[in-house]
Amino acid sequence: MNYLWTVCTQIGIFLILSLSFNFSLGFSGLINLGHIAFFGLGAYMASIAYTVYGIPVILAILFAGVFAMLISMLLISLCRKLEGDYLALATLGFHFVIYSLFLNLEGLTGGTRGIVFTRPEFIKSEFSYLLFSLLIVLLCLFFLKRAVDSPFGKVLGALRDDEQLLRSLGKNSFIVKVKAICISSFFAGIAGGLYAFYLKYTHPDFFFLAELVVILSIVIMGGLGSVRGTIVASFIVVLLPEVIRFLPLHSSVIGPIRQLSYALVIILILLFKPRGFFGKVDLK
Amino acid sequence: MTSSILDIKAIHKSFGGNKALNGISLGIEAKKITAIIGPNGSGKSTLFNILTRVLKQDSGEIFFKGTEISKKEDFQISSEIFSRTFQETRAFGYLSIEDHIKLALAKEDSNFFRSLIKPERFGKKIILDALALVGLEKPLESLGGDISYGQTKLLTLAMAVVKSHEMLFLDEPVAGVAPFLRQQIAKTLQKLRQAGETILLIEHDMNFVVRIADFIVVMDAGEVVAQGSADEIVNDKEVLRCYLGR
Ligand SMILES: Nc1ncnc2c1ncn2[C@@H]1O[C@H](COP(=O)(O)OP(=O)(O)O)[C@@H](O)[C@H]1O
Ligand SMILES: [Mg+2]
Repeated sequence: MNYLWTVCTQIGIFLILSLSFNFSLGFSGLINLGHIAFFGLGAYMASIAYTVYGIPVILAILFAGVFAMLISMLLISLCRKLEGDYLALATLGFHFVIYSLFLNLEGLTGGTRGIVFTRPEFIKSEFSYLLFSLLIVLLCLFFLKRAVDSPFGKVLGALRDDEQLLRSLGKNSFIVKVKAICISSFFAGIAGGLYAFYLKYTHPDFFFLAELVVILSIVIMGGLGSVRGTIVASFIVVLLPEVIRFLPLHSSVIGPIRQLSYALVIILILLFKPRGFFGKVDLK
Repeated sequence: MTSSILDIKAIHKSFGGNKALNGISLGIEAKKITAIIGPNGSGKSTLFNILTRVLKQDSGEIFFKGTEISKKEDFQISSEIFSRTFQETRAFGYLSIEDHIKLALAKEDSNFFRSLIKPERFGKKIILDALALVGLEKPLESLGGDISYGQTKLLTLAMAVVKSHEMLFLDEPVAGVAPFLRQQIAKTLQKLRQAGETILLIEHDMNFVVRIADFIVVMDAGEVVAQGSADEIVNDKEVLRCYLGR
């Protein structure tokens, strides 16, 4: 049974991670390829806050979100003049910088040893942790859905569709971008915090670029700018490798097949359903 | 001697070696419709873009009601005093017509928490009135990317009009719009003028311009070559030569 609970928890975490990614990519048209770095920053922040400073789990997870948000504010201010492909490149570079910090700031992150810890009593069992994380996931989901449906969500859509026209309506598009990236990173950080307590172990390898392929698969499969799509696709994409795990294959090929299956998902979707299941927009 | 609301002083602008504006000086009167005409490439849109701060001039100054505005950013100017449309049609491809109008009306929608907790609300009637003003008959949920060229022109005109402003800039508002709608837009602009609007517009359609403009400015090769009332301009030999090609 425990196995089932952990898979469910993982779906929830990847749902928030992917939805926050879709928030910037699909809803706001901002290509932030550093999203996994914010996920990782959240995980490390939560782990360090909890293990070193003894901060309660829920606060540690909140700190994770706030920390990721603050760093994203710094990043977007540095990338002030960048758009489109250049923003993508800069944020990709940011990912590698953060990844190498995870590896090399050994005093803080434990380097390749990572940070190992145990959960407090009230969420010790996999089932109790599922309930705990489900609560947070639902809160995040509610909040993000409200945000994209609000007038602010329409401003984000306008930013994605035509920044110049948005500015001609008197909106400061740069501030809107900062807010979009901050909100997106805040939830990536929350997801990271949840992930740290889920694994009870934080290691640089969990935040390698390959994870970006996973959330990209989810967002593309579900569709850019669709909350419903991201929810459905999170289930499918997280369950996919779990299904593969039960195939009668040698363990040495399972890893590569997993990676291959994500690539296959992206290619099939792009070929046959370019907007994904429920996609509303195409990016220019 | 009438006083102008917008004063443009010696604006120069080059793109690489290409001189788009060569010392434009103009005074635009309040509560009038002023039209800028001139051949393609004469710098009309460039002047508009500089006035609304979308582009920065190389030199020269702009004063609105006596205050220099040439150092402000485009979104500031747009949120405070100017409304504008663009020559090329633009709309938000994946937002509904209704959302377009709401974006133009709203002042607090960039405020994230306010927008979540206590969003500004606009009734259906305000939206429908805005569309009726320009004669745009389309379901409110049609997407910006799915409507025709002419309809997009109308939509952006409606947005510019309903957004709060003190002066309206329209870059070729009826280009590509069906003739019967031109009539309606001409009427709408006249109504706005009667209500006290100050309008500066660029237009190619001479008939349209002569019909609605109080004052006409003729540009050629980045310079103002003539200005005056419609009658004066129509009978001006220089204008006939360079603009009408006679
Ligand atoms: N963004 C730009 N970059 C380079 N050249 C431009 C740009 N915008 C306008 N121009 C040039 O400036 C001149 C004036 O163009 P424009 O203001 O669009 O004329 P008009 O609106 O009167 O047709 C043209 O020669 C045009 O090619
Ligand atoms: Mg033009």
